[in-house]
Amino acid sequence: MNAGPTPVEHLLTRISDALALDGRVGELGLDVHEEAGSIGRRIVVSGHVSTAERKHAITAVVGEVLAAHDDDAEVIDRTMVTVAGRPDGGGEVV
Amino acid sequence: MRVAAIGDVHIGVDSVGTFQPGLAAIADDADVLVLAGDLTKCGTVEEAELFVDELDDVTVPIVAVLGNHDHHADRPHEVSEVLRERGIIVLEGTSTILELHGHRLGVAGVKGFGGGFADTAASAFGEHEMKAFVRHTEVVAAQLADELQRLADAGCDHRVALLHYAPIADTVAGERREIYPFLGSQMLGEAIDDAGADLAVHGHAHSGIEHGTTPGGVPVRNVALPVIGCAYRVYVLGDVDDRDVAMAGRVGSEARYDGSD
Repeated sequence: MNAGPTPVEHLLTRISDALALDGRVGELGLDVHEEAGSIGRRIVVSGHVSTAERKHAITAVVGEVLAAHDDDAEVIDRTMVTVAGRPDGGGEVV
Repeated sequence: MRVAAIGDVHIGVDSVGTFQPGLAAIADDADVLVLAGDLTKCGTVEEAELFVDELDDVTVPIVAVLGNHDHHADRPHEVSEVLRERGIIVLEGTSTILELHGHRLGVAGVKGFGGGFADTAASAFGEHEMKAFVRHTEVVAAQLADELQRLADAGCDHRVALLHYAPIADTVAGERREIYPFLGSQMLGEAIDDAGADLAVHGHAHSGIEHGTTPGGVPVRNVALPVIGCAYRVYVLGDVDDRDVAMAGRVGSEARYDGSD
């Protein structure tokens, strides 16, 4: 049997691993899934990241994994950056 | 007794200065700060040093456990040492007692580990690797119970269980169920119920929810930064005094104190 395109299940796992292990992102637990786009396939990443730099790196890291697998899916970044400001709510009595 | 809590700040070289402003007024809001792990992005010594720099304005006592991110560079002892040099009390299967405003606050801390919850919990059955996975959680859960009991025996007025991994499923709700076994363990919740506590705090489950309760009735709070969306959340333990009232009433959608005694 000839090796064909990487099954999407394996591809999604490799993308999740890359997002955790690549120091530009370093976020474990981001959601990665495939969607059908208007033209072709989309790889969508969602969840929370700590800085704008990490968010900006997501498209590059995912794109590199796709390129390594000759996959031309579009990358959609839907992650959000969480800002750690002073709480505007009061304390909770527990 | 006002306990501020936060986890999962994931400080790296790209986040210098992002955490410090939110902490600047913490002494007005809380008597102690507890850190529920994942203080660094990848667990390097450099990131630990950047993290403690973010705490420059914090004058209240700080108690911490490490998280899985703080272990990723395989240098958890060095990361802990950087924190301790800043005066942070770092717990791992240990506990500490703080004297605050005439009250004794005991904090028992473990990073915790995975295994899952209730009907999806892993068992120490089969391969050596599977047994090792489950038994590690058994060991740290036993340490947590022992330390909480030690705090009770020492006569603490209030006891807090500080973890990184979740002790119950309630506060990981919102995460994909497939990853629950990697987010925490029922054994941790059972340890808390067996020994008792006034509050359990954890992080790790970024898509979870803040509020939960162990089967035995101990309040559990998930303080992962993406969950609470701010630099810390404050929990008031025990009798509510004037200072606590001022804090609880400062705003209040989260405050359950209604002004009556």
